[in-house]
Amino acid sequence: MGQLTAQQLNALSVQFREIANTILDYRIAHPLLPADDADLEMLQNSILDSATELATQSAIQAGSEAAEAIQTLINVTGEIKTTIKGLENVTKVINIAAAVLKVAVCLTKVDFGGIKNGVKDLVDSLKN
Amino acid sequence: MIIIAGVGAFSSCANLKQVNDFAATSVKGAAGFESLPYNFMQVCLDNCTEKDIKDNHLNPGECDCTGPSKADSVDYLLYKTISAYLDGLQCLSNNDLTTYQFNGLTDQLSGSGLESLHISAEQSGAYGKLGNILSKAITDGYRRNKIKIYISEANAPLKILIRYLEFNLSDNLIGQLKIRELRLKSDYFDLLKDQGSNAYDKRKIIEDYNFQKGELDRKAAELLCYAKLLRSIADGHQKLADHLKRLHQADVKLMITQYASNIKDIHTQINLLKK
Repeated sequence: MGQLTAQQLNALSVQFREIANTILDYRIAHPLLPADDADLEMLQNSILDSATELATQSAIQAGSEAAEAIQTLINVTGEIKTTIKGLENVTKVINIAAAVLKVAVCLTKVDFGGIKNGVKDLVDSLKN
Repeated sequence: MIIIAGVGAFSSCANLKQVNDFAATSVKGAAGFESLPYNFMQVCLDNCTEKDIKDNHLNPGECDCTGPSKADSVDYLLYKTISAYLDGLQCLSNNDLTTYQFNGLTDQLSGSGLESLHISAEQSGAYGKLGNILSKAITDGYRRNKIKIYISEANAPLKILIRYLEFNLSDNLIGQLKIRELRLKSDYFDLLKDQGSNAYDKRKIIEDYNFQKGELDRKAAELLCYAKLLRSIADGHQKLADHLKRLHQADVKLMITQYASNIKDIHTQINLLKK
């Protein structure tokens, strides 16, 4: 079955289902001997089992056929997440820049207390 | 320059809003997958239960559902990949993402130790607002360009995944429901032709059959509705990809809004079918 496409497997499933339906309609429309009816019912159910299996295999095959597209979309989603992360980091950069500015101003004023506090703020910004 | 930056920021916000609305609606609609009424595993379990009843087995017999479990995993993978992309698109196009808080900068500028700069509270507030406008102008332009690239790159694989998920639900899974309906019809036919059934029994058998069939039809209708919703997402995304350079124009905005509205409507229909 590996050679068939998902579409072909589904088409086969539909055909099997229609054959089983024809058998059932025949059973309903014609009075049959119990033994004959039981034989036909068994055949009908076997065909329905095959139809079920074919539809299941078709769904699994769809996954194999979509594998490349799945990988491509996962890659694009990964790129989007990286971009979002980058944009979120801008906030952090702004905080760091503000802390650096404070230290720079204190340095020009030779304000040792301010420098100490500014460095502490800068370290905090880098930690967050 | 500030005016130009401000106008640019406003215009790009408007463009991204259409993308954001569409992505947000699509994420919400696609999430309906998680409450779909039927899957391949359920088909397998129902068939096993039916076999046990027919064979008069009081205790459940062996039930191998390996294949159906794999089929459900495929559908789940398709859904999660589609959903993760739409979610990423929604986050990236969300204007809150780049609404940076410049309070930190404002406080630092007007705080103690900076008196030598002679910056008043009013001025520092104005710098904060200016920072917001400029940052939005820069980052929104950046986001807009990135979003265009991602929508272009994602469009083909997204359509393929949606097509396969739609195929699995509306062809394979609904096919399973139709098979289930045939099995049901066959069973009730056997019950009806039983010589021991009187007219009242037969009436009850037919009523029960119609009820069971109605339940299967309702499930099929819900699956079909969800498949239709997926198609609307694919079509809407295609329109986004087709008109990336004209997202700011009124006709394109209206078109994208209509797709988002369609998705909302179908989502509502699905919820009504669940009742």
